[in-house]
Amino acid sequence: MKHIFVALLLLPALAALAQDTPDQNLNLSDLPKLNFAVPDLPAFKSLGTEPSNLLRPSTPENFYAVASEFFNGKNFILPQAFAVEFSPLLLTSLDKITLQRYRDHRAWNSSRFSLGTFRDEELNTTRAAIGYRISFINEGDVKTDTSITRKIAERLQARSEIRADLMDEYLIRNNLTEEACYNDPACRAAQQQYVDDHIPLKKEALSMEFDTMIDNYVKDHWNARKWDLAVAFTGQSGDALIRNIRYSSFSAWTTYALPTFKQSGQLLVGLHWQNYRSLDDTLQNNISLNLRHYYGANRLKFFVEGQYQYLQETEASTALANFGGELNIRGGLWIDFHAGLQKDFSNNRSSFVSQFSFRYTIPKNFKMF
Amino acid sequence: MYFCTVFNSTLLFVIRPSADPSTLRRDSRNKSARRLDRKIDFQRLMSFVQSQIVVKMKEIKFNPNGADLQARVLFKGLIVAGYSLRLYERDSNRIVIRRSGNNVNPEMNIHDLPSPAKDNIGRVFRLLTDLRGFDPVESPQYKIILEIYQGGVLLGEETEEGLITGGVQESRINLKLIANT
Repeated sequence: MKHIFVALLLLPALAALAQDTPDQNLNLSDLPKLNFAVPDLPAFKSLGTEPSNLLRPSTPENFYAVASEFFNGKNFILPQAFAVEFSPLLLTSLDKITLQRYRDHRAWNSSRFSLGTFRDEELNTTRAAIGYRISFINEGDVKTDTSITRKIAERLQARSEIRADLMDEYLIRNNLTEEACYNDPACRAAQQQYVDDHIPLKKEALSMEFDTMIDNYVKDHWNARKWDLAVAFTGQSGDALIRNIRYSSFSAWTTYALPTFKQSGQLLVGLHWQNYRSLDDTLQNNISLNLRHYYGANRLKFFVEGQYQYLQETEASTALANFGGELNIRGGLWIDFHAGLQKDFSNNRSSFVSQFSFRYTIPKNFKMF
Repeated sequence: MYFCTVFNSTLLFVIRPSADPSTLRRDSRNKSARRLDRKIDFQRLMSFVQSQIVVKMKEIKFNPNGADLQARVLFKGLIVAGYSLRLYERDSNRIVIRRSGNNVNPEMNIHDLPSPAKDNIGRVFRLLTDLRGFDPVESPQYKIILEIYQGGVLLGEETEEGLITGGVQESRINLKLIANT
């Protein structure tokens, strides 16, 4: 079953690789779908498979998936943890709403749900999680950023005025009225041909101009200001039966991201709180504060991170110093890697932690139906 | 090759020109790009068919002795659009009102017509729109609507719908205002 699940998760990514032929026409309307950043999924984070408690903000997409620990240092292995995140609104048709309505409700539009599962071989337990995330601030979305849409709209508006002037010019030259010309198919076609022949701003040239604008926008806004809030419930079962699942934990995150070094850096400040059932069946809390700084470009960047965590159960603190990076291999495929030192102040021991995970979103040219 | 039924079961076949041998080679682009191309070709075909049919301009009736008239331009779908709206005098080329706008500032898209209302009898609207869609997958269609109101009541509308191609697209809507006698 796990093999089938992994294969299903990999299908869109493999389809993207198969479809990405070098001579394909790059539809620049797809560019906003090029990932701004590797997302962290609340359901995945709550499974406790990563040492860092920072939940990275992301731009809403139709679908994200993540699988961890698929490489044990020697061989590729079946991942123990999977999670998917989907946006109910973006999976439905947006044909009936206006751009203004989409913009006004951008926070609700960014609502995403995630589902995750983790099989712990050591404790012989299965954990399942459900998460929810909302982005209160996302300044990197081309659809809601009026600084770029206004520029595009003004260019389109100017072109439609030129078209209207040329149509009027045709009517005057031929001593026609708008109604008479409209009702005669030959005249209407000739009027359109006159516009096509004389318009200085051709559709193709303007399309390329917009494509370049959006391309540059995506490159320049990977580190835009963002603020996410997320929660996740986790249940645990000694077997694979859903009826045996019992409360394991509740987690909440908030993360604020702001740009640094113009288009080269991003600082993340994150707060995480977790209530969980401990081994002695009591409910405990922990809280952590994270600071992470990225440096690089959208497709390849590196980070350094510090984390302080207080655990109620041991009445002690831990600290984590972490560094790593992320690489967009192609299309929706990303690799995320990090390594660091974790210090437990209760026993004054330090341990080495590392992770190499694989993430992806629906490729830009993938269609389910 | 496409075919469609035009009027009473008259079958129209359109064969895409393929004189250039290079077009006979297998299209190496991805499936969704080819599917989108087919949709666009079909849309162009339908536009061509429609352009050959004598279509009388849509007429919207209003009360010449009633309240003032207003025109509203509305865009649906995730698109950016800019438009030119012109009102022509009856049986003339004289432009009565000349407006332009876009859907990034939709509050500017309601336009008052000359008062009193009876002055607008026989006048003709032309709405030209240039648009660009964001994502043919998330929002594959657009709809442009020109609505006419009198005293805040919607009298009628003319619409145009289409598929988002990813590039700049053009649209044209005309309608005529006539007295409700």
